[in-house]
Amino acid sequence: MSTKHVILTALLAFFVLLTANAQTQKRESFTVRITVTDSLSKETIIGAALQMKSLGIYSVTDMNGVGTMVNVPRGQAAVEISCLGYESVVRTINVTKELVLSVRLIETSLQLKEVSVVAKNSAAGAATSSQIGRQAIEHLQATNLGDLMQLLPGQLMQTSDLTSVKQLNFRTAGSTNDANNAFGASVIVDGIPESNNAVMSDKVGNTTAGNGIDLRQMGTDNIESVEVIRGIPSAEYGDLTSGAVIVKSKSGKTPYEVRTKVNPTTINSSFGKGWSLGAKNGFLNTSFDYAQAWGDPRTKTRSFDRISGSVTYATTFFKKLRTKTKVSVNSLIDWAGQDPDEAANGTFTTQKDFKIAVSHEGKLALNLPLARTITYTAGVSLSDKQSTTSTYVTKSGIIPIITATETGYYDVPFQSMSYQTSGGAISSPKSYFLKLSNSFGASIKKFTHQFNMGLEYRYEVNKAKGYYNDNELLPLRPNSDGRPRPYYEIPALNQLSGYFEDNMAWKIGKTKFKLQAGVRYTHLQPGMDEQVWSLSPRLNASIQFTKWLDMRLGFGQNSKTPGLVHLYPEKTYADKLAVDNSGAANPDERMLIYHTYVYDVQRTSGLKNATNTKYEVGFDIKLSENHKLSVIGYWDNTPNGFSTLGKQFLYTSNVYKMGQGMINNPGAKPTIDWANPARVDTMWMSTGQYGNYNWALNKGVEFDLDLGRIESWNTSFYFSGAYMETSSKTTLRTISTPKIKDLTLYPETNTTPFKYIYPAGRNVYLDRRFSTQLRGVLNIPSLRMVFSSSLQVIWYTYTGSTNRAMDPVAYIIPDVANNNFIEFPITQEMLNDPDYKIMGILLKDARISGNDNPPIIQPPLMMMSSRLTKDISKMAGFSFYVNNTLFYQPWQRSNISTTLTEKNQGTFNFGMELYFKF
Amino acid sequence: MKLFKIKTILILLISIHTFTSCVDQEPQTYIDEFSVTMTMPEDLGDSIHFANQTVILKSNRITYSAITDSLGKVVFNNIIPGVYNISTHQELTSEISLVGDTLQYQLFKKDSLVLQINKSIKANLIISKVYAAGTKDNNNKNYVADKYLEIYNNSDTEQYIDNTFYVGLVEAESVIAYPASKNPGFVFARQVFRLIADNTKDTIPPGGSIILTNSAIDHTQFSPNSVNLRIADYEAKNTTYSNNSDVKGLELIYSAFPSLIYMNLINGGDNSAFLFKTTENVRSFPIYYIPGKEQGNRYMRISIQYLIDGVETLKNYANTGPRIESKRIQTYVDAGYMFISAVSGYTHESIERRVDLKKSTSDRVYLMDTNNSSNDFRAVTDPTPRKYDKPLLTAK
Repeated sequence: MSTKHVILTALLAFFVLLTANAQTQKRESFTVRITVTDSLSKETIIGAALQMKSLGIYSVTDMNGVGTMVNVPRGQAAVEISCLGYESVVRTINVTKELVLSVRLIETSLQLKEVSVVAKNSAAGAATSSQIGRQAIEHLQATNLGDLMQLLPGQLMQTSDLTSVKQLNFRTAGSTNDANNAFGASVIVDGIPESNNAVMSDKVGNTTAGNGIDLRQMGTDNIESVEVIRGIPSAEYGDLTSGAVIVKSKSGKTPYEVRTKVNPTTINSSFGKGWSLGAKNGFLNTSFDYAQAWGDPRTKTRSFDRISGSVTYATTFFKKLRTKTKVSVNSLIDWAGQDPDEAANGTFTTQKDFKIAVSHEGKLALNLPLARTITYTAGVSLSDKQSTTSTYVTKSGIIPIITATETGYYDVPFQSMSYQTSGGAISSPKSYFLKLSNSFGASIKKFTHQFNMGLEYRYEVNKAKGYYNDNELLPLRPNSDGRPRPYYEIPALNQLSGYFEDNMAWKIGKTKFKLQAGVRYTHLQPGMDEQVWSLSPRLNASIQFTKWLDMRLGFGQNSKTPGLVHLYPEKTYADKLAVDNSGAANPDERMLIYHTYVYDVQRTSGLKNATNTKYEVGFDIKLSENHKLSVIGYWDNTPNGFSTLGKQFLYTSNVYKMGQGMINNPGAKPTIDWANPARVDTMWMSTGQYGNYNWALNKGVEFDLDLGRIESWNTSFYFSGAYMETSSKTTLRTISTPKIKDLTLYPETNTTPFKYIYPAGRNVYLDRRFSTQLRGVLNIPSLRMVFSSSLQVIWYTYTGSTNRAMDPVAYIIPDVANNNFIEFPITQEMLNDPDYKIMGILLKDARISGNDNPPIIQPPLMMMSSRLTKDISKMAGFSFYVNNTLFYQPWQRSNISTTLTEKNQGTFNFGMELYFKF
Repeated sequence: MKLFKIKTILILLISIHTFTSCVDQEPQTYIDEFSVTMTMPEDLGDSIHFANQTVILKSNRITYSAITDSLGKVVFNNIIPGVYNISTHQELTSEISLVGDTLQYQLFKKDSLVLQINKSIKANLIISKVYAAGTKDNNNKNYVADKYLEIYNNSDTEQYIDNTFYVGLVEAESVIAYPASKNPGFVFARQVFRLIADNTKDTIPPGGSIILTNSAIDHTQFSPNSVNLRIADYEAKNTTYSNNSDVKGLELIYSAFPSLIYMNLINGGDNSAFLFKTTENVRSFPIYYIPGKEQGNRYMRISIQYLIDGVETLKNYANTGPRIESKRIQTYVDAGYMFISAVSGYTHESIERRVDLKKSTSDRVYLMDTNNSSNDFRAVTDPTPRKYDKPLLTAK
């Protein structure tokens, strides 16, 4: 079946479901009306959301505070009632007749006994995720979305630094960013995925091309809640591998709220307000956020500024259609330059990133049996990234200025010393997103089903000036990677996807089963040579044997489509010196000729989606009403992450020397006898294309133990942690130039007539970590105060890499006539012969004996952090935090080190926040 | 009020007096006696003693000298305890000198030492300058194209350079791979260049020199402090620096780093260099991985019997100074070491041989050649090719 047919069939099926009527399902059904009121004022609450997730039913309270859910089938159902600023409530109701109920919502406040300043785990039977609510965000004093991730099991405490790019890695044990893991982490804000797919490598300053979203762009003061899915996500979420972060912005009535966070490196102020525009006119929310950070207040060589604002309008039409429209702007400025105390030399790098985004979401309560709630989402995100730099270009030796963009020999100017120059990059990633989804529930015999299905379309493009030099004769990068690259001719990305998911529940005896089974189809660049598609099945299951024990099982595949940077790499420029008379005494005789060979790859065809397979198994034990233990083991493999392709191309290049093709011309530049070079070199280079040769495996066990609240201490305890292991390798065969002792054999560099091929995947990088966090949360409602303290212990940190014995498995020689390579196998007999030579070079010198580096194991390391949040009155409050409260910076040494190193350096940090609500 | 002020001042003065009285003013402990007895080389027989020669004890802070008695013994009295380099030398004939030395001798109590004196043959051709630090260009950025080595004819006869002369740069791993102490008889090179590739020969007159560089151009146009190397005699032809087609090429025999085909003079060091002569096929000399490794960099092993001259130039580390244990050249070739003051270079510092004031005349400069670079060399700034007139080089 062709791609077009698949898409058409999916569309047809969707609309059939959408328009199907209830004729076939004549089950008994009722109307449920729920009046929602404020627990204290007793006033009705307008705009509260009512959801029966298992049946796909959605409603919003009207001007009288009444939410109406029609055609609710007979039976038990859970209703979740939520509203901004209130504690959410879940009620299980037994629908046997028309029901009129009332629910009181309690305003979220530190006066409550229950405060949520830690992440909450998801229930069994759905994706493994952590829910981070508004109180947790405020208590953490997060300045950006990335700060919140330290609340997840196994994640380490962080010191917030806004002056460097912050990206999201899921379940990795290594200390450095894994680009593929970060690229495969989806961040979805109000239903619209943030996308890096159209970001190019701008070559100036930081780039997030082929890497994760920069989490610094999102302040936290306008966030209502964050769900971090690190397990197997619902089929609704796609274009990801490692996980997803679902961000929900504030929408609804809120007081005026002014917040200011200050710590030694950062100032972050925000303003927000949500107005109720009257019973019929919905809600209008605005937010404004400004953050400024310096890397180190002593040496002001880096700074970051963030200004963002948004206006959100939510309203309900005809009691059936709930819409939310949001316009947001975001401006980031990264600056790096000289310290003001330094003698100014005019060097700096500035990156300005301006983004305007418009999103619109509608939820239509159709209440048809096969189309209960229709949701549509549309989003446009327009970015303008401008990077400028002024710098000195330095190099050991002469700096040829090669600007050629076509293959040929060029008489090039050159610099013999450093020079100051400037340039930059202009990039305009634009992203358009459309999504239409439907959900409905049904009970078939003992099974209850809740179906979700949807279609998504993304269009992502980046037409811009790209990388440029202010003066082409003084390039920023005087090398083959420094040619200007306009993005105008880079094609746009078209991505179509569809998903279908069934959330089943049934009961056999006392055993309850839940199964979330879904499949997602993703197709990138349909109809083009480089098109790529994938089908991703996903399963999350749970079995509840008793009320206190749930088993979890999960299997899922996720796919991340390649970005523009992977599909449309830049031309490869190979520059080689052909004539050198640059050192001639007479300036008029000086000449430097370079041969430029341009390999125009145009596009990477054959690139696959990075596909990730996850398995999860775990259990939840309810030890008592207040004590819960959740343990999850995971195995998360991405065998085909994006990497270089390793494909080579061939070309020949002439060299001319004085008397050998170069004829001396006293008083003038030498004349070149092009037909008679001193030498013709056969050269080979990498094409610069991308492949799928990055293999990564994350596995481990996460646990979360809710130790409950000790009433007499007013304190709750939580103990969480994880054992994580990350291994990675390349599955690409390595091409290696032979080592030559006798330099007369092949006197010019990089001109050996063959190269060895070593087997793939022999050397593995391995990181392991076992860490725990014990959190104590002291909450004194009468004082409106929460104090929490976290004790983090990294019990075990292992960093290792193998350096295995390896023999070359083959050697390749260029076949210039056919522009190809011929591969010859290397046999064991050849390797056994100590005198065996390939083209004069001893084969035994190519044998790698291997010598594994000893793994580095760090001793246990402890750190404590403390936080306090206190409402001074109903209108004002403050928070205060101290990271590494005990200023514990022990001198330790690893198992292989002979010297002591001071640990926890730079982790001591403190700050405070003031807030006013009126 | 006035009384109060006076009281305060008095209390302060008394306090200061009390505290200063607590300062430990115990006198410095000296070593009463340290004797050094010289043992002469066997072939000189027992009748010749190392008499009336100066022996120098030198630490980072202080230098002592004393004259040997008729039996070749010297006694130092009232020595401050410390770590000393001990050296002495005697001009036996115009071609042979006697040298004795030991490095890093720990002298913390009354002690005696028997110092072996070795015979040292004076070379006609000697390495006289190692300029590797580089400098700053007109924009005050690093400039490294102007590095050079100079070889000087310290004899009274014309010397001929033919295709049997080689220059080597010694292995310079940060963790020393081939210390002299563990490799008697050999030196391991990171690079070897042959001075003349064909069957021609060059003549160096007495007091003349040859200059080896990576870029034989006038560098002063790019860096005001730099040097004009158009007068260089040999150039390592390469594609990194501007080459002068009028200057002869050095032939690269071996490079531990295949892409480095020019002289790998490291800005900060180590840059120990040696001059050797052999008719053997140097390309066939064995090369070895670092002991204990079977991959990585490989170094060419050269028998010390071929060496004409060598100079140990070490990197100066910020807190510890040069690492003496990094000596890779045997002490009978170079008993000492020299280093520039900068840790990373770019200071236009050069390591240059001192002028032998006893021998030199107004018409002819002779350079020091005691086979001890601590004695023979000095680090000077702003080197000038073929010139030896810096005050540090001509000081007594």
